[in-house]
Amino acid sequence: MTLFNASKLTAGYGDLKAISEINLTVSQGELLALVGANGAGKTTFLKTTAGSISPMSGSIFYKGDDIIGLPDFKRTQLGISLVPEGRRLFQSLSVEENLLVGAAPNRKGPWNLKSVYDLLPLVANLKGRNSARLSGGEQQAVAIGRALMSNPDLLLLDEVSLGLAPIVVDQIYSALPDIRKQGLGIILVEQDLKRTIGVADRIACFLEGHLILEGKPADLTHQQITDAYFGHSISSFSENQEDMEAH
Amino acid sequence: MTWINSIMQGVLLGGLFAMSAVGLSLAFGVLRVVNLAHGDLMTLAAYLSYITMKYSGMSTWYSLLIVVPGMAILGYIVQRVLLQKALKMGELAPLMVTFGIAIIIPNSLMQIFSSNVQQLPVGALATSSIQLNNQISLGTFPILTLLMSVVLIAAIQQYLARTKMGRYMRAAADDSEVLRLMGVDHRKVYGYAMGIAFATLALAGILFGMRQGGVSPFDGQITVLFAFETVIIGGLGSLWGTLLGGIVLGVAQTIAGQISPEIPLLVGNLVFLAVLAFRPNGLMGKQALK
Repeated sequence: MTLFNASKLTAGYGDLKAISEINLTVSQGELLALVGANGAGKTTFLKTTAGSISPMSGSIFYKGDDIIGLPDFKRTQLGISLVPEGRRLFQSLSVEENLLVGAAPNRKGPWNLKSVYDLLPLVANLKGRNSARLSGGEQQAVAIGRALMSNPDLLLLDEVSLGLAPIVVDQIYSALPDIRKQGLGIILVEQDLKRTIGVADRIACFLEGHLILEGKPADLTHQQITDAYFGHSISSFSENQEDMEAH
Repeated sequence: MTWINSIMQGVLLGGLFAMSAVGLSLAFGVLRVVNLAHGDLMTLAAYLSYITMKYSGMSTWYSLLIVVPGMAILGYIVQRVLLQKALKMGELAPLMVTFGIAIIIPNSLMQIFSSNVQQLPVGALATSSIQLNNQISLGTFPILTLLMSVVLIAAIQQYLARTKMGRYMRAAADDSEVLRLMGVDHRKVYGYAMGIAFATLALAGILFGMRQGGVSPFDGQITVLFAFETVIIGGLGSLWGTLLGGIVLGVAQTIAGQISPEIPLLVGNLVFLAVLAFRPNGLMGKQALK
């Protein structure tokens, strides 16, 4: 069942288009990974989905309803939750208070303080600590817990591993299967290609604001993904695609 | 002993300054709005107290029970109807809106009531005092004002720390964009914060008028100065810093008044400038609202 559908979505900042004519869908329980180099438009796509940025054109359907005119907080109340790039915890609040703010939409579901603490024991041990005094990995775990507290149906994860030690990233990714058990759709923005291919149901690669490659990891070669990622010979890539289709 | 008396009177005066500054600090901390109309809204509240008193026959003290909640509702409405729209237009727009209000209020009051001072009687407390010794006597009304200020600050701090809305206000002070992404209607949070700010400035405005024996249309031009100086001296974002800032300003003014009755305002301004120069974040300045 289609949970989310972006159609011909164009968005940016001022007159600058950061994404152009993007068509993407996410089904319930599916993990869609967005990959691409810095400035490819991945974060803009997530922000437009979450409502932080108003699109220039196009539409976004969520559970069959057009949500393009809804403000960000109403989208979260409907079940779209963003873990923003850089974590952006509320620095003057404790870890538990951050989680409680995340529960603001008051949606029913499996996630509450206890289940988040069970999923992320690291966070449980820090609940009384001021969030400004956390390491990057701890902050990321809290940010994910905070997003889960709204019991989302669509979770947007932006640059989960950015700036974190590999061991910390492993811990965070180890929680992903348990999160996915709840059947929510996930859009994951990630720089680490190997890790992305390992967890994604589908991969979409952005280059300079355009969606240039999309498919299941099993159907794509590593070379195709890296070529699309770095923008190597897009024309030859397109030609290859046409050749393959011709055959 | 005269100096000790001056210091103690300054501490009591500081309580009133702190009360007048709490709303300003809260509005800036949560909404990032510099309310230039703060002093004139204090004056408006004092006039509303006078009107309530005049037409209902109740005392100034009882008028607080009507005017303070009324001003809280007005604050919520002003935020939702005027300032919320201005906030979307950039940082300057809310400043211009409050500047406009600061012009409209005193001139309207002038048209309606003339420039005459309207009495706000304190009642029996006006002459009541506590005699500590032959040279030091503390007025009951200023003591009560200081106690009310301490209770008010403690109550707001507990509200911010322990309630859901208080948590949202602190979160908004940190990052209002992310607060919205958490599904919180920031307009409601801003409205509540402005409601509290208006309630506290109303209380301070009426007590200010009572302390001076009455209120006149342009009193707000001087009270807003005291409120700004108090917030800056104490440190933006710190409620207890506001109390400290008020006490420092109050003590500076009363000690200066002991030296010459013409220099209290000047010395208060110099202390304010000194804090700006050497501790620009204030004596207890913090980024977060606490």
